[in-house]
Amino acid sequence: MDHNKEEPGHHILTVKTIVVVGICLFIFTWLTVHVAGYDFGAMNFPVAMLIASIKASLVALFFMALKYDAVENRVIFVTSLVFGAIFIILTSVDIFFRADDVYVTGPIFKEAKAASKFKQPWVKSNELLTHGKKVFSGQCVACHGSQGAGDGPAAASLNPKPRDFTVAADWIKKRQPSQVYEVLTNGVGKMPAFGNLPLDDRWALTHYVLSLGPKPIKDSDSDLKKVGIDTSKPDGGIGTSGPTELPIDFAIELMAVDGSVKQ
Amino acid sequence: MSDHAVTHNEKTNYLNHGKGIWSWMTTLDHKRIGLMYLFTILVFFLIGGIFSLLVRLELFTPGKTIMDAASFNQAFTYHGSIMVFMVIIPLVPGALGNLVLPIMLGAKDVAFPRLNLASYYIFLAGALIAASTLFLNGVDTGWTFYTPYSIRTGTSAIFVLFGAFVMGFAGIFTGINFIVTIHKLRAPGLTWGRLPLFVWASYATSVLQVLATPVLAITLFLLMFERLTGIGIFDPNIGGDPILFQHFFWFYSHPAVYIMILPAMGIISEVIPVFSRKPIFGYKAMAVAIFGIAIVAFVVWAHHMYTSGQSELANFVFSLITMFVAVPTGIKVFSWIATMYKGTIHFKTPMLYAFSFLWVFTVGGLTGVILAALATNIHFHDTYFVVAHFHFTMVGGTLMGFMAGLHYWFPKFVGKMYPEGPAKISCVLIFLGFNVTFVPQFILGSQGMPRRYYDYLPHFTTLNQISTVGSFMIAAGFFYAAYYLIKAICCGEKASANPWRGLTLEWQTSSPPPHENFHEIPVVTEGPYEYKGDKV
Amino acid sequence: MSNSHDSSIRPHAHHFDSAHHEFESSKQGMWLFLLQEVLFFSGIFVVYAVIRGLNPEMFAAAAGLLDVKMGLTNTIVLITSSLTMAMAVNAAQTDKKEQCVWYLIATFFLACGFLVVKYFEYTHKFHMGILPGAGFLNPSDTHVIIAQTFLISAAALTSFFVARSKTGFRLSKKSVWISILFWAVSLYLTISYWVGHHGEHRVVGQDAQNLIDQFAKAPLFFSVYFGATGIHGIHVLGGMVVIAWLISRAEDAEFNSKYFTPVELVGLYWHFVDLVWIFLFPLMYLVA
Repeated sequence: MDHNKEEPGHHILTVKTIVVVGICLFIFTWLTVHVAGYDFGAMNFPVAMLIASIKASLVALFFMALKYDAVENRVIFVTSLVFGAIFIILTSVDIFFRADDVYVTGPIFKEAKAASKFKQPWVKSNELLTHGKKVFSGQCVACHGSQGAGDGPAAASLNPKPRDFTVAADWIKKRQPSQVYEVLTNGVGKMPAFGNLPLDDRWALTHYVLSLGPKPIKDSDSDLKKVGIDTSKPDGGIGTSGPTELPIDFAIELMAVDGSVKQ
Repeated sequence: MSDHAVTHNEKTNYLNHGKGIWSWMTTLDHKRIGLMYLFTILVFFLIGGIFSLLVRLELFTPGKTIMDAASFNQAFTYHGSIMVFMVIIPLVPGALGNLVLPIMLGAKDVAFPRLNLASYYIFLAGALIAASTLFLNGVDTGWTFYTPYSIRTGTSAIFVLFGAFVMGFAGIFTGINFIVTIHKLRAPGLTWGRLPLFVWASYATSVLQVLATPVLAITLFLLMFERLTGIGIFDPNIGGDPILFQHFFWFYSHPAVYIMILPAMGIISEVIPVFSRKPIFGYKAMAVAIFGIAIVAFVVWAHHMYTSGQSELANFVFSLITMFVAVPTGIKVFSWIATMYKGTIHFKTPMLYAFSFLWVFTVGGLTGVILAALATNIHFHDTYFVVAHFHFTMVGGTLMGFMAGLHYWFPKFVGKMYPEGPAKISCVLIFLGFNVTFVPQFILGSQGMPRRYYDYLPHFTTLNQISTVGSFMIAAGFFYAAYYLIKAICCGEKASANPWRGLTLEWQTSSPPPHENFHEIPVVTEGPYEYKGDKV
Repeated sequence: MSNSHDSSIRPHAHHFDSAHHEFESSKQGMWLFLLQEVLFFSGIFVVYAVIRGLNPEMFAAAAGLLDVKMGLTNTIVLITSSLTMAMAVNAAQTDKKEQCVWYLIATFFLACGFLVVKYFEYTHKFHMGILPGAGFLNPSDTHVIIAQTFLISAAALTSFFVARSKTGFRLSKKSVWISILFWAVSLYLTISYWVGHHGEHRVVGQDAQNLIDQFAKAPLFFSVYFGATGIHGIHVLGGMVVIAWLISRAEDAEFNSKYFTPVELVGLYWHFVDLVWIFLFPLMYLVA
């Protein structure tokens, strides 16, 4: 029996070794889960893989007895890992180095179905305010004036005058964003409907003009529903955070392809 | 190595040890298993060959000749799939390897005889599953099964995929068997430095089989899973990547072509020294070159994908590395030629096939370098240039190497000699027919004729017709070979134990060998190529 | 080394020089088999790397729908089964026949437990509308397929419980009880699932709906999840079949300190299966 212990590959693991390795494996498993609770940024993945590798080494060296085995078997195991790694690495040389303007996966049209570039256009944000100011100066200053005081050049001929966004007196009615948005979309009185403006523009304008006056009244979910926003969905049911138009080069390419097809 | 001929009682040998079909079906004798592989594979070779003739007939004229386009797609798919999975990959290891390897090592059998028998049945089962599709809806994806078409095609692709999946395991188990046999069952005195090059070649091939074939298994599995449930990994409609499939497929299929060629190179390394009566030139370099080829084989697969849409970086990397495989290959070709230099050449059939191999494989290899270069590949990809390249290497390489080995070891395993005259005629017919078939295809490809095309521009007609005529010459050559070999099996002249006066261990036992290979295990005292210039 | 006078010594095959020679060769054969298994699973890891690398936020969000507790339970179960397997090998190597049998049975049941937890995980997902591939948000009769697979697996396993003895076939009492238990559990799970969910109107879980609204490619995560854990599960099932075969041989006192090759080789395979899960657990469950 002792003879057996000397030869490579005939090592008999002691019960003590088995139990100790088992306990180590349980400890490292706990560590795996514990460590997952912390955020190490880019190191998250390497740390997780390091712990997994330690566990794997314990299993391979002790349970699979590679530590006591013939060299050939160790070479066989390491060789398998090397070639597995070659597969992953060289495939990645393709997958992760493709040029950005090539759409490698998935059709593009799904993305272009978004109605808004912003994450949640019905919620005020600095980007929306900036955008709103820009649109305002193009679309609204004729009547509402450059400061939104209802004193634009076209206002001279209007009765009643266009709303002065800067005074509280003019904000008694329709002080909710959804109501302002609805007015923009459908018009009211002498104000024409601006429904032709993109959804983003109208929401941006809404937030901008409300920011000029007193604090607006918050919208309830049903209020938002009236203007087509379903708050139970993260994108409001309209599709957000995506391109709202096809990129120009893509469109040009499509036209070129279409044109070259012979009928 | 001992030189004496064996004169034991040759009445009982492995062929008549145990009678009846059941003793064959349950045999654990590697030699009988080798013969079973050989006959099964030759049947599939016939079927695959018929498909090649059908393809060439259709291409005799532009437009429809004998079948419609959908049938043509199936014809070339079956030709490719059958030839690759059921013929060229298992042929030399399964048939000749099983017959020769253990005896060359001085062993009584392979390490795992029951696993060996299981491998044969697994191979047979997989082949039958794949072949059953001939009676179902067929398959028309090309043997490469590229997505997304292979996901959407309504043909019986699943059974071909599953059949290939099953056949892969036969290769893996054979590989495992051979590696352990070579490691553990060498005769006394047979050190690594005295191993015949056929053993080195089989060793490298087996390593390739065990490392690469499982990736084919996962590829086919994922494709089957995708056809069944639409998991979307390779399907662009759901966000998957069809180029990823190509990476998976070629990670196996490129090493696969080296699985095909290395054993044949091993055979050539056995035949040339014997028939030149000279030791092989540069034995160590030849052994190292075999493994050089095997290792480089694993890191060049995406040279099949330059135009697929993969990254520029990948194109550059893979083109660069692919160039390196020419180095060990060149070492081998030059060593074979150097072996013959100042040797006493005996123009027996095995040697004629070796000459054919040298010409055809070299052309195939050189055109491989042209295809390895990114700039030229862009133009040649998916043209007949590629078709000609791989036929030169696979047919010219593997098949001619196999024919050399078949004739070389025929007297050993059948106990009878094939007729030399007809064999030479058949060899010339096959060689000429081969060149007539495939040289025009290089020209067709460089002029732009695409491959797998049912129809072609009228000015390609003449070359296509020449190619078709050549294919029938090859067929004639093989049918003639079948004829004289079968005739020799039943009534050929009795062969001695060592008709070629070879020095490797298989010639130190009787022809045919006894059931247990040797009556007494030989002891090896010198290298396998110590020829000193005597006549054959 | 092998004592030819001792009739309890199993003779080695004729083409090997000694029992030790045969054992070393068999072990190398198993390591070569494991080499090809590593390459097989490396394909799964390539798919993982590609899909996670190209869609990191989708991946993290989708992984949030996995039940970490169940994954952790399975990890503990599998590591314990590796422990019991190592103990079974040790028992065979030291002539402790009864211990060997019981440790093998323990390993078998722990493996069974792993698959049962997986069963609950999978059926919970299917209930939520999360199925692989085209089935995502389109629940179909997959539960029937699962039940049938489970039953077929049980049948396959039971057939291996027919113990081989030197004098022919016989059923050992232990084997019969294990089979009955296995059939009973499978039948109960299948029937209760069918009764509970047959013909119900499937409501897609809110989590799943939110996920796919946010990330159009979310089904790809589950393709990887079902693919990877599914293939791993098939390997666990295969291991169970082979362990069952070992149990019947061990009961026949076929393993002792002079011959324990099958136990050690199956042990190697089983530890490998554990190894793969050691990587799959953090890669799939602990990404969020």
